[in-house]
Amino acid sequence: MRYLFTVFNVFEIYLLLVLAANLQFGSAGLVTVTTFAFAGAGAYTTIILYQIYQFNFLASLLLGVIMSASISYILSPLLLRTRSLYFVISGLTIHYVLLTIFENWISLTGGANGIKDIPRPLNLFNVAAYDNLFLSSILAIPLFILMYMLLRSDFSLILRCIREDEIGSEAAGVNIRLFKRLALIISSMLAAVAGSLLVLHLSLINPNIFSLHESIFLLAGVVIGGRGTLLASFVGATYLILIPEILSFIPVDDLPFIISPSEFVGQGKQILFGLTMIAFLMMGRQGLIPERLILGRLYGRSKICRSS
Amino acid sequence: MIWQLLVNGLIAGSLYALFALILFFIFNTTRVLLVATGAIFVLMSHSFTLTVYKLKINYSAALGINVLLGLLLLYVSFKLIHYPLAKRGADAETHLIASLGMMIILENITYWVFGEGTKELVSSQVLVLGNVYIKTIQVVSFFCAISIFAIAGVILRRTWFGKTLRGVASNADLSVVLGVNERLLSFITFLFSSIILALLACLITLDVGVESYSSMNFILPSVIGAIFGGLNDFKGIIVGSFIVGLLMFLLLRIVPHGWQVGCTYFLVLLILVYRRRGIFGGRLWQHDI
Repeated sequence: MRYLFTVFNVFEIYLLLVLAANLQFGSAGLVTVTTFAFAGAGAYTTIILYQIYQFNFLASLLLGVIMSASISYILSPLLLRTRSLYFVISGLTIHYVLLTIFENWISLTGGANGIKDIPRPLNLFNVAAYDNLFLSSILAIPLFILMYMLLRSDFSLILRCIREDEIGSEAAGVNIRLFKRLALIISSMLAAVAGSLLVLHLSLINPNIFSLHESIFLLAGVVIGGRGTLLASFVGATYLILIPEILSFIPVDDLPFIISPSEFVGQGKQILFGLTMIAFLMMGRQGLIPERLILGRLYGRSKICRSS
Repeated sequence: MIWQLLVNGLIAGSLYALFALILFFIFNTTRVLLVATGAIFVLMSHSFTLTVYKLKINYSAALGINVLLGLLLLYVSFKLIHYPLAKRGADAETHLIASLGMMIILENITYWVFGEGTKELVSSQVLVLGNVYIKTIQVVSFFCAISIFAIAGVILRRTWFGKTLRGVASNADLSVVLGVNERLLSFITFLFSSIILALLACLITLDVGVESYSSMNFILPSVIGAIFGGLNDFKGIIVGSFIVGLLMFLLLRIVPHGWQVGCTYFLVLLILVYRRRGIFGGRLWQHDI
């Protein structure tokens, strides 16, 4: 039972992260690999205030979200001055800059060792798995509802227009930079909440949690699940959680080249994520839940829904 | 101290510039920024260690085997992934995402097959020039790099391949219409790239060894240096990579150790934001503004 609750907890966290990535990449068409970096910025702020300065957890989380949004607000004008490949490379650069801060500001972040033994803010059930799931649900479910409404709103429609035809949108009077910037900021806020919940689940925080590979896996979640809808993010997050769980049940002791079961799960999931992401890109599929299926019901069968 | 940092920066810059040269060749032929090159390099590095250290094959034969391995990996990745994507009209970001996926797959296969990292194969002699300490293998690396740049410069200006590559980089559609043999061009590009990758695998493995998950540590500074210099300009990618290499070491005079990589990337990003095509670069695509 505890195992299932732990899996549900991780699923909620990854759903938040995939939603954050989906808002940037799926809706706005911004290929960024900064999601986990902003998650890290929010998580570190939350945990430092909560554990070291003894702030109330919710206040720490709020300040963590504000910190992540502020960093995104400051960096987004730099990012948005670049396009296409340069935009992706700038995102990679920002990710590494933030990782450098996490690894080297030792007095604040603990450096490569990070901060361990993070206490649970809630102790209702005396079992970590139940308490963490309860806390995640309280925080995440309202956010899911908000994101559901946002992804069906005019804001999301404008982001899709920008994604499909930027010049046409600008000609129609849309402030492209403003909307893209809002997408980056909202995404970073979601990522901050998810990052804080993730480190509470792990009871520790260190820079390795927020590596570049994890951001690439979120992109894989969007590519596989689909773009721009809550259901697609749900499917993408399910895929990201399900694969490691399935791999952990495979008996590996007799397989050649396998060093240990945990490494089999670790490397195996990365290979599978990479392969499926490439396969979906090559097939030209819009994910398992194509956007047009959802948009068709939302907006009626119009030309808007026939995405390329 | 400053001279030591300068020498270290020049050596690092020369290696990043070699990676950038590979990216330059591949990008200007295929319009794909192949970041998976880093993972291919790591795999070749491990295979070099295997052939020299375990199978006791001499260096030349090991290099030859590595060239073939690199050629195979580059050809397979393009045949299976990037050419089908290009046929479907995929944009540059899609190719980059696919390349990142390929990088992750190769890194993990490398780890599965070879384990964590290579060892430094030989204890290199250290030359002392005043206050500057430099390994002989590093001197060899630097002069190899300079020679390769000189040869590449001659190839680009004087040979059929170089002129065709510049033509395709300038206008790929027109080049096809004028009868440029894309397959032959790609094959020669991959061959040059795999030769340079094999040499890099040999030199860096002999110098410091390579870890299985370290592909981004080599390819990211090269990509940033290449973009900073101008991805479609030969001298730009070399100058940009040298600047990145030098900054990474010279910043140690100002910032504590560990911060220099992040500071370098941030400085370069700031300049890139205002000089979007790089120092020497022109428009990458016809529609680029």
